[in-house]
Amino acid sequence: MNKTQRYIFLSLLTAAALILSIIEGMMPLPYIAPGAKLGLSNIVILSVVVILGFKDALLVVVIRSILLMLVATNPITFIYSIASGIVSTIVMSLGCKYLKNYFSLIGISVLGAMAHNATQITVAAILFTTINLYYYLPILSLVSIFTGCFVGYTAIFVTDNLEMTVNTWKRGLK
Amino acid sequence: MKKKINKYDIGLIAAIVIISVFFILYGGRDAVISNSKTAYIYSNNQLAGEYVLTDDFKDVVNIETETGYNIMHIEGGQIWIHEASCPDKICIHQGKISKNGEMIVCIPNRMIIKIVDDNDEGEIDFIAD
Repeated sequence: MNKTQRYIFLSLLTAAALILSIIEGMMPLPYIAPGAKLGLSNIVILSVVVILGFKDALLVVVIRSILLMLVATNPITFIYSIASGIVSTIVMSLGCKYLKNYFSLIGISVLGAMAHNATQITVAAILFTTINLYYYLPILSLVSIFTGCFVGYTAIFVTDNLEMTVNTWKRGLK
Repeated sequence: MKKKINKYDIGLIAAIVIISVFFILYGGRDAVISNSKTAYIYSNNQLAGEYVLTDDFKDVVNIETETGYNIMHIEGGQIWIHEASCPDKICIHQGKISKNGEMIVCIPNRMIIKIVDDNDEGEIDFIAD
């Protein structure tokens, strides 16, 4: 993959993550706990972590969060979004690096979702200056198992296909 | 990278479920379910009384200082001043308070009632991505 190809590929993935975030915001979901949601854009981010690595995934997360703030939400949401995005990316890439002999993508995605929730609650606790919000953490963790399984299972299919494409590019340019 | 869900994944998920259920059942019960609304009464800048406001708690409190007295009633999760010695009766006109952050101030008797509700902050609906 040369530079241009990589940039175009990354921007396509960023656009996909952004669109998934926007669609998710439009979806009517049952209220379980504050902050509980599907995390559809994590499919893209987990796939980028697996295929291209940590740096590119971080780039996608940061640009997605900035664009999402400009398109659909507000600066307050941006703080939550970027903090939890960065932390869950770090956790997922560490998981991919050191735990890939044990966990499948489902396990790594669950870990990422947990990190996402924990960061979100931490940010909220800092913003509201109250520690009580951590009472939501167990509930959110249970929810994140379902969303994490869903995201991980989808990411397995996505990475299967994307890896083939990327490998073809890499071979074709040699 | 493994492609299918395996025993380690299931182990991780089971561990998270067990820990979460444990904390839901035993960890946050008191703080989430019980009513932690508290009225703090300050007189002359000193804490003169502390009352947990629940729906079935009923009490009459008399706070006296050298400048006068305030008689407050607590009932149904609300607190209000029923009688006061001050000339303007502003504290009585401030009515019944029950929500987090609400206050009754009596300037002549230098008395403040303040409500602090720990649950209230948690109920703020924050939307986050």
